[in-house]
Amino acid sequence: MNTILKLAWRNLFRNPRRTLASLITVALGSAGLLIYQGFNYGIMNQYRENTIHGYYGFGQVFPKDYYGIVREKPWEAWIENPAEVEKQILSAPGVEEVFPRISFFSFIVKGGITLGGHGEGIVPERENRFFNQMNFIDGGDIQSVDDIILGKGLAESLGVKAGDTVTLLLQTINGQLNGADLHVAGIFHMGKKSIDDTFFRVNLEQAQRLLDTHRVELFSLATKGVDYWDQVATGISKANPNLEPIRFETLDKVYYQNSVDFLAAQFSFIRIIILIIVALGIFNTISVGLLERSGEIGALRANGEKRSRLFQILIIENAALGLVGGLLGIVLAVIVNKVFLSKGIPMPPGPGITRHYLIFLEMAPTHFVQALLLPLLTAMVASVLPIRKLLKRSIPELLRST
Amino acid sequence: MSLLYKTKNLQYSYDWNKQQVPVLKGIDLEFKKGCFTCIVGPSGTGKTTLLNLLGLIDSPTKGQIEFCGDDVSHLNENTKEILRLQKMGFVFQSFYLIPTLTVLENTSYFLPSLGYKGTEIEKHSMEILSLLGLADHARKKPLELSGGQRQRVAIARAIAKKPAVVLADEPTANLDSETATKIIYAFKELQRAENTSFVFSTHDSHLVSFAETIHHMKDGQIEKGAAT
Repeated sequence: MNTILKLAWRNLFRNPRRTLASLITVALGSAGLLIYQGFNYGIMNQYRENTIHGYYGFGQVFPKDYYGIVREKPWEAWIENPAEVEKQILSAPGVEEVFPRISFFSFIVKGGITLGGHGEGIVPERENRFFNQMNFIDGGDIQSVDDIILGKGLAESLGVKAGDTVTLLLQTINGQLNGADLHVAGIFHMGKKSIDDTFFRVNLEQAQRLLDTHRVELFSLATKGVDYWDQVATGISKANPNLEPIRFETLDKVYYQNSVDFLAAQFSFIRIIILIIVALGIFNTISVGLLERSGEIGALRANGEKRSRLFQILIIENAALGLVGGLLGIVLAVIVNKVFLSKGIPMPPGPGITRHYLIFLEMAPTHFVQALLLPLLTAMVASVLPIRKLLKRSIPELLRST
Repeated sequence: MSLLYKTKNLQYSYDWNKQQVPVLKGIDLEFKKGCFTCIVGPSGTGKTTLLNLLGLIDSPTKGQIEFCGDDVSHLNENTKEILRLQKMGFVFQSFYLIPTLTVLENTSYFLPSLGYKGTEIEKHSMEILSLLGLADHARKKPLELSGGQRQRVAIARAIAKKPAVVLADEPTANLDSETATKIIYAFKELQRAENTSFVFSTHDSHLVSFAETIHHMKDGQIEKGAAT
């Protein structure tokens, strides 16, 4: 085996110019894969961070059989004893913080303008510590029970700014009309037009007062990390079987999970194209190189060299090409990332998103392994056909063709 | 002296435009072990084809080849590979060395496959290289050598296997007369020292002058009564 490896390695330097051409092809393919995957991973991670720290947390805990079902009177299913349930949730391993919330529909009145909006009652002093993706363009977060913060589009439609007062008009859970004059503490945008145009937040205590309920609809969760979710979900279900923990990917399927799936599918396709280009690029070089060695191969076979051993030598030779090319590609990608892309790649707003953002390449260990192994496999696969073709030829034919 | 090769009505033809073109038209020959034999004749007469058939790198269309008493006319490729590895050495006009390996590495290329191990490989290879006057060039690459030296490395590679027979196709065709003479002496020395048999196809009258047996070929046949 040592001889085969030595021979395969030395043969890489047989025709330096041709080897260099192949190495460049493989290295560019490998670097392309790594950069594109790092880019995709960066987008996915930013989406994930936005989703987790913008609104959903790592997941949310609902009353059992509540999530996803349209009800005439949803509040009847809400969690009746929030303080006790909060303790149960916090007792589950991996849970770091809980954020009780209720959502409701309300009219918002300012002067002669009345708009419908989607309201949410939260505990601001807790949420501020975890949800850091709410971008305030005017004023700041809720400070008192009489504060309200409005989405950018909603505030523009109402013509209000921080410091103004708006009136909320809604029905209590008993069907009675209720309302409150609230101080606009801030105007935010979350980057999603659908949210920014309709969304507002008030203090949970205010929301409960307006709805005339002591219940909460759900708890958003901060956990030790994404990977802890299964452990957290099991712990919560164990502590209270009437609760249903749902992870953020499911909650934000439309934006997050669909985007991730879309990017993953796109990457798979691009990866195939890159690998085909690499395969075609080196196929020709390999074929020409083998053709030039026909006589040498013929002479070795005439002297008793086994076809299987020659196949091994030639495959290992191309594997070495793929491996070295892959390593060079990784080095190239890291240099490109550190030197040219260190300040991020400016991106236009994505679907349903209203702001520009920067993407930073994020290269995970598995990406490096892929950038190394895929070109290696491609180089080997691309060489199989010309090698088999060469070794199928008769010895006199090989000797004649030089 | 026992027989190395015996051919009976050996025929070979190839397809061209859906027609069979005969190359060998019934060759009956015998080669003794330890022979130093030349096959001579004009170009296109079938010398190389005959050598290919004797070296088991091609199969006859008809007829029979016996090698050391065994019929080897239609063996499968694996058996042929083993026979070629263990019993035959091939030398060609165009050397066909591996340019990325040193002279020593080229010479010892087949030795691991023949069961040689460790220092034994280098020792045996160096002995062969010394015999061919190449010991000083052992660490050089083939491209650093002259044509004659390269041919001697190709011979060393074939000889290192200790084959029963060396089949050489125009081994001196690309060499000047002085180098060719050195190589012929090397062949003779190996014949003497190792009792290796040599079968050449050649146009080189100088090489032919050293042959113990000469077979003249014409139009795919051995000229009757022409063996000398």
